[in-house]
Amino acid sequence: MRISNLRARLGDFTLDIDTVTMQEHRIHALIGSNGCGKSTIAKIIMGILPYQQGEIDFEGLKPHDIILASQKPYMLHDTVWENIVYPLKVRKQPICEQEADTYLKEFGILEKKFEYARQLSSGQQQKVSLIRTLIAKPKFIIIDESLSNLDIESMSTAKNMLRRLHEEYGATFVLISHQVASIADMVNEYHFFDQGRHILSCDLAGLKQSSHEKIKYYMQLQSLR
Amino acid sequence: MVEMVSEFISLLKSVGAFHAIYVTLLMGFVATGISTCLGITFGLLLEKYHFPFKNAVLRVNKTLMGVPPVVIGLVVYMLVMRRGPLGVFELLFTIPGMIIAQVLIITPIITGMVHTVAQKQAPQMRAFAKSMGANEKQTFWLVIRELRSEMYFAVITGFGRSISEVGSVMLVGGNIKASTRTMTTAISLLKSQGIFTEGIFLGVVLLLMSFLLQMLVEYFRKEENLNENF
Repeated sequence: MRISNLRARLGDFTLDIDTVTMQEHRIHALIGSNGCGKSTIAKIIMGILPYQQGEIDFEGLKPHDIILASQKPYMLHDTVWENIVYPLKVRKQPICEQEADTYLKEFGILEKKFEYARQLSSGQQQKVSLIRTLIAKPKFIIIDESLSNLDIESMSTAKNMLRRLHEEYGATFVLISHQVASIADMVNEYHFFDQGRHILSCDLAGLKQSSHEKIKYYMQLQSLR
Repeated sequence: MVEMVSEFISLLKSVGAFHAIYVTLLMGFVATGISTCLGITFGLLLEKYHFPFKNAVLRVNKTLMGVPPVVIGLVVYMLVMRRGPLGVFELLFTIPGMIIAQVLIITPIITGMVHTVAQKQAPQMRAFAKSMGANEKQTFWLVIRELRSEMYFAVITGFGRSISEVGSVMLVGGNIKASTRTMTTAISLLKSQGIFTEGIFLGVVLLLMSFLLQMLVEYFRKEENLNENF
């Protein structure tokens, strides 16, 4: 996916991106401080937010090939099971109950399968959101802060799941996070943003060596420099 | 005792009470059915699309939500009377004529209720559907599905308004025995004739129907609250 000369004005906030290329079959991370435009990019990619200028080249990806796990996941007024199978129904894919149960078991919420999703705690809802995102096995998966909101054990489970899907299906992942350290063991390329502007795209070593003031400060705050 | 009951029933028959119950239910179900289709469509369209004078349209709808039914009855009467623009259809003093009046009364109520709730909740539902890769059609059905409890509530409110309404059905229907007489117009007539027992019987039937509707509303509210994580 290639984003070129993108300009989006949303109230007082302006997103300004020269060029961001997210190569397929890799794990990308959109990083930066709160309010730098990471989630806005995800919403623009999904067609949730409009943009005034520029181009997004999906390189053959269709809407069904892309999925987003939102920072604040929306839970359907239904059971956990119905929430999980929704993306499969959207894609008219067969529902494999055994596989879904495996995901639920790994996250420790199998016994909640037929409970109302809105009755779950916010952490459990994040898990449902992650399973829902991964189960359809789309080609391009965006995960907006969902990993950072999980407890350590669940985060490890989620990361293992992501790695497995990445290895088995070659899916492209875009992780949105403000904690580089928590995802550093799996990300191939970082895209750093500051106040709505794209600053740099590079690997972790590139980030550490960057002379850009904002990146230096950001990495120092994360104890990575 | 048996004699008393059979006498009571024959009295009810003589004033057309059973037919009035039938007419009330028929009118209520048909009018609510039509208004549900129109109200949900208008409510969702008003929420989703922006167009010139949208606020004016919403204000007019809000006004219509509280308009006295007798005014609607008068307007429909003038439309369907023999010399009116719709006179050729001979709808005056018929059940279809009453249904038209009822649709004009109930549709703004359902539209307003659906619009209010959709305005609050539909944007996040559409964002979710898009984030899952849903197309326009799938997104539309998701919004309908997610707002179902609120829509049931709007429909029940509309039906309740329909069966309890007297002004417009009296004007357009004419309160003709065994034809266009409804429970409410029958009660009104019985009272003017000083026949209170049968009037009270019909009143109790109406109250029972209201009670059932209220129970349904409570059920949906309870379901909704159960689903939420407080």
